[in-house]
Amino acid sequence: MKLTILSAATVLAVLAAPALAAPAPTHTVEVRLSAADLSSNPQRAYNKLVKAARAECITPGFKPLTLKVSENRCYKELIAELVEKVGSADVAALHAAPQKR
Amino acid sequence: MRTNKRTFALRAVLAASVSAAAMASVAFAQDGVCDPNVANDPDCPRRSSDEIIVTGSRIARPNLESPTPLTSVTVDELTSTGDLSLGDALNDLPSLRSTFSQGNSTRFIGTAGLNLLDLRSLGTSRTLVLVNGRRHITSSPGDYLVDVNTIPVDLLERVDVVTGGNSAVYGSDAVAGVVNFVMKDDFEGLTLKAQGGISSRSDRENYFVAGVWGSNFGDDRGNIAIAAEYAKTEPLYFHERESLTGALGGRCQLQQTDNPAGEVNGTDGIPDTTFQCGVRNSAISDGGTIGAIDAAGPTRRYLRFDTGGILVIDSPTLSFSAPANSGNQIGGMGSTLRNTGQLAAGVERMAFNLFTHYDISDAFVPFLEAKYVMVDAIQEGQPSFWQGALPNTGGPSGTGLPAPAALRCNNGFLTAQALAMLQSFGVCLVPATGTFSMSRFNVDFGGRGELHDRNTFRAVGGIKGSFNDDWSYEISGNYGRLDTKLRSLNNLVVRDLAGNLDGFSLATAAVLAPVGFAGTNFELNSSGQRVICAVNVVTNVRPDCVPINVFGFGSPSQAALDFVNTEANREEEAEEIDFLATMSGDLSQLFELPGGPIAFALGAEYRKEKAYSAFDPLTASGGTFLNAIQPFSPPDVSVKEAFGELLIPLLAGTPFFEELTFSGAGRMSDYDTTTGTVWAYNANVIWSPIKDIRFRGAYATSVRAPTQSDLFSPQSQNFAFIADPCDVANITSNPNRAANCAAAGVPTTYNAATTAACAATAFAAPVGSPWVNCTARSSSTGFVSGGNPTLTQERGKSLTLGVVVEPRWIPGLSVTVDYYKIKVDNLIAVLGAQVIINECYNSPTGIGNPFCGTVNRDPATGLFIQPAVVSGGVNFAAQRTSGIDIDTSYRHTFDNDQALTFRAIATWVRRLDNYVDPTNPIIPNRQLQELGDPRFAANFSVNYDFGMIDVSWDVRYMGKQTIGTWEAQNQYTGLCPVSGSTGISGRTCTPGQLALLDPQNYDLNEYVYYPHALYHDIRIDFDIGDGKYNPYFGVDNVFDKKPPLGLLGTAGGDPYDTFGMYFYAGVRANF
Repeated sequence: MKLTILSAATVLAVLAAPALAAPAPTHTVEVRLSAADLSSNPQRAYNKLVKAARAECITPGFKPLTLKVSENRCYKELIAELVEKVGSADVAALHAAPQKR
Repeated sequence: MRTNKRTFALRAVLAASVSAAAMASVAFAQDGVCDPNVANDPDCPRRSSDEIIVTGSRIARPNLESPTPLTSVTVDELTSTGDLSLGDALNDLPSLRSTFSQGNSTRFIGTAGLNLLDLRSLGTSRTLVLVNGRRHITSSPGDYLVDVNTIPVDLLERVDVVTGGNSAVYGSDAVAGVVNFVMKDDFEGLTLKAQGGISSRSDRENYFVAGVWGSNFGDDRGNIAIAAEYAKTEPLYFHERESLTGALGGRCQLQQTDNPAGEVNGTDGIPDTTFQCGVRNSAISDGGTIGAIDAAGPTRRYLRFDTGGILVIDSPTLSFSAPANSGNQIGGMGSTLRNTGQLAAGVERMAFNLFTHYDISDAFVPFLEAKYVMVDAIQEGQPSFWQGALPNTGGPSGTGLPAPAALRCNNGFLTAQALAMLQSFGVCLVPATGTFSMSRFNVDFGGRGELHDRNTFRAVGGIKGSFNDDWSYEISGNYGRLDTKLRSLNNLVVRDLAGNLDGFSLATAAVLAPVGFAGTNFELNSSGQRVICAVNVVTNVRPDCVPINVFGFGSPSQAALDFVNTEANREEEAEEIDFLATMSGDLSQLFELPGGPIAFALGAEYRKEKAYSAFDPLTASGGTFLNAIQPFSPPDVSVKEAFGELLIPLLAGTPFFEELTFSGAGRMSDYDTTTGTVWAYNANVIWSPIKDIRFRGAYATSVRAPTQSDLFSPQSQNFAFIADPCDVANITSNPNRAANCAAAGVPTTYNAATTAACAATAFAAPVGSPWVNCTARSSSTGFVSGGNPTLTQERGKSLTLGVVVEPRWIPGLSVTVDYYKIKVDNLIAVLGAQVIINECYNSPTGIGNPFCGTVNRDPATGLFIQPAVVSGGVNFAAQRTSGIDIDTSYRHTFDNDQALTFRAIATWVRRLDNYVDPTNPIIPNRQLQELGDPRFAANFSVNYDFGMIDVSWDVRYMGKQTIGTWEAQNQYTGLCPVSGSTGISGRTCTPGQLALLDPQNYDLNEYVYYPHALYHDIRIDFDIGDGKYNPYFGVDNVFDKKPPLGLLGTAGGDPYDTFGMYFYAGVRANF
């Protein structure tokens, strides 16, 4: 038991060393948008981004509040990242507007 | 075993080296900002003429962000073996016990093929199984037990295993924890999958085909997904694995070879059991055993029927009758008891699923989940048998039943040779009237089998949406229905509905047909004479009765078997209706704490459960080989609940407080049973001093309300002589009895009512005489065994403390270490009638105990009234467990897009004790390290993705487990006896106090433990057509490790692999 605690403490101490590098994502989400949609139907393109972000972050059904908050945070960060990366002012405007689809 | 240990260590070091090397490589340059000057910057969208591809990073990590320990396992991890049983794959997780697996589900009537989950070994009823966080219809009417076979595999996203009480969030039963099956939500495209597998011994074949189609509609506002899957796993029979089971040649087992009688603590240094092969039972055989003809000893011989009805003397190679005093032998004709039976049931499953939703607006999203699952299970067990008297033909003396029937010496099938030999041993000296006993294992009658047909329907529909920026709601209705049909094959008929002898009882009374017998319902014996049922001698009143020849294996004719065997049928139904309404949001529009807005959730739930189960009338009446099983038709049970959660992010982004969040939940449940209103709550904290480390702690209370089976399972009438603790003869046996009996209204002397009631008994006495329970002393007392409607809820408390480490300097690495401690009180356990009534009046706390709630007395006389006691479950036991869970994962993608992934999940159990002694509730009964509960268990997997090829290696380790009980051959904590000695060592202890006692029988078994075990699985996946086609193949149990020391995987909790090396291959196509 003592050995176990000592080992765990050592591992934690080593792992908690100052950061040496920026974090890298462990999982990526890829969304394919139609170029035509992006120019002529940005709402459709935005819906696709929303769906992708939701699919990645939000699980269906009932869940504890902590998980719900965590999933919402994941969704907000992911959709913001995707919108920014698309680089479309129209899509960005849709994202900034109150969400009414 | 040492070699395995070294191999594991070496491989672990190698794996660690590979991991370290990988860690040392430079993380690729994704930083979230597109730099057009950097070639192939993943943060920049990739553009072609008609398509733009953007890539984002996902950070949803439920296991890392949860305040409670949570092991999240993806469907890919669970289905990375050749085993099609999701339940068995889950049972391989260190935190789950193999209480109900495909191998051991055949231990009880009606449970073949079920996969039930048992977290922390606290019992399947204390693990709450959910689908998408919602309840799921049971697989066992009257209980809340979800069969994992009803979960669709191909629509599964992941499984979250939550440790610790969670009743405040999810409701009753979340005592040990929760297993939540999270399904895929949106699905687009078409996926087809096919897989097949077969063992290295060309058995236990399985097949799986599945298709999932999904599409968006309504301008991507809606999605519909339809899935269908079919899976079939062939049963594995004992006779197919002769080397393991000894079905034909005799069993390998730890066999009693030394008699511990007369030894101090049963110990003389010579193991009482040693591992032997070729073991058979002496007292029973497949052709019929008359009995032993020698005194007990190594050369003891037996008189048995051989093929053709010839009576022979069986001389086994070695009889263990003396000195070991065992009823087994090696060699000879005794039964192996395994000619029929299975290592695992066969299961066939078809599932259809529909998931759909349509976003009319963000605030109004109707959704529907529906499924229909058909599961058929095939089980074969032991055949019917009898030992001595014919089965169910009578009862012991004093029960009022007739004496059990025996075979008659004038049986028409008994050959002259057999009769002569019987007579040479002093049996059947007067054939016309004589009888003789025989024991027979009716293998030639066919194994008693079960064919199950379980149909499960479940639909969840509702609306959900978000409003007021961050607020959301969901209102849903959840309906589930289970319909099962069980056909129990080769079940002997012994009586008719009126209780008259019938079937087997008539057919075994076989006599020579009188001259002039005109019926066709006769059989010819070996001499060509006509044999008929004795009941038809005068008049052929039962033209359907065909006499049965039971002398020798294979002697019964098919016509006779058709007459004596029947098929019992059982139908069951269960229904569940659950309405759930929740609303959640945060208070960001009002104010925010330094760590963010306070979030909340409120909800209400209403649930109703219905159950029904009944065998056909003949079986229910006890007219067959099975015991009488009364119909189960309990009243509906419903519960209304209200709950709330609060999340308070106190601090964030400050020195030493990267995050400090408190959260809590509470739930009030109002049952319409004796449970009434119960509360559960939890409180959690997350503290993250720096980004790399999160500490988490949670304290939770939980409840398990008694189920319909606990409360209302059919009560069967029983009779026994019960010594009344309030009787003058017994009242001084315990210092608390006098006060408790008085409190219960039992007079100390005869009053007028008692005198009148006892007038006709042998204990008639005048008023004022010392009180005697005259009826209990005069005759057996009636009581009932079954459900106990006075049961209340079990109460659980759990504490978890853990740390999550995600070092930024090792991107992709996460380590969680969690300590858990769970205790369950007021646990429902079953006690006998006399124990219950004693405990009622022995209690030092008065009669307000659960035992007294089941005792019935006439208030005027104090005498018992029927039923005197309800013998069933009582809230008195307790469980305690604690341990440490470790979950480590690492993923690194190299510059060439190849990726290394590893994961290790381990559990070290510190304590696992049951408290089931009602007399001494402080005495622990240690379960830790007994079969099914190793102290340490771990899963380790490594995957390397080369792009086109993906290679996986999985290792499963489990520690040693005792062969007998822990207490048998290990020191244990128990009550110091009055002798003041701890046992064989002669150490002293204080009588009546807990002490470390010596083993109960130090030399019980030749080996104390089943050894630790390592299983290796490998798998290779291919990626063809840019992810369109994924063929794969794999081998489970690569080194063909077999179960140790005669284990078969058929015992409860037995975690050892029985199937051996197993090959499988499949393909997944994505369109």
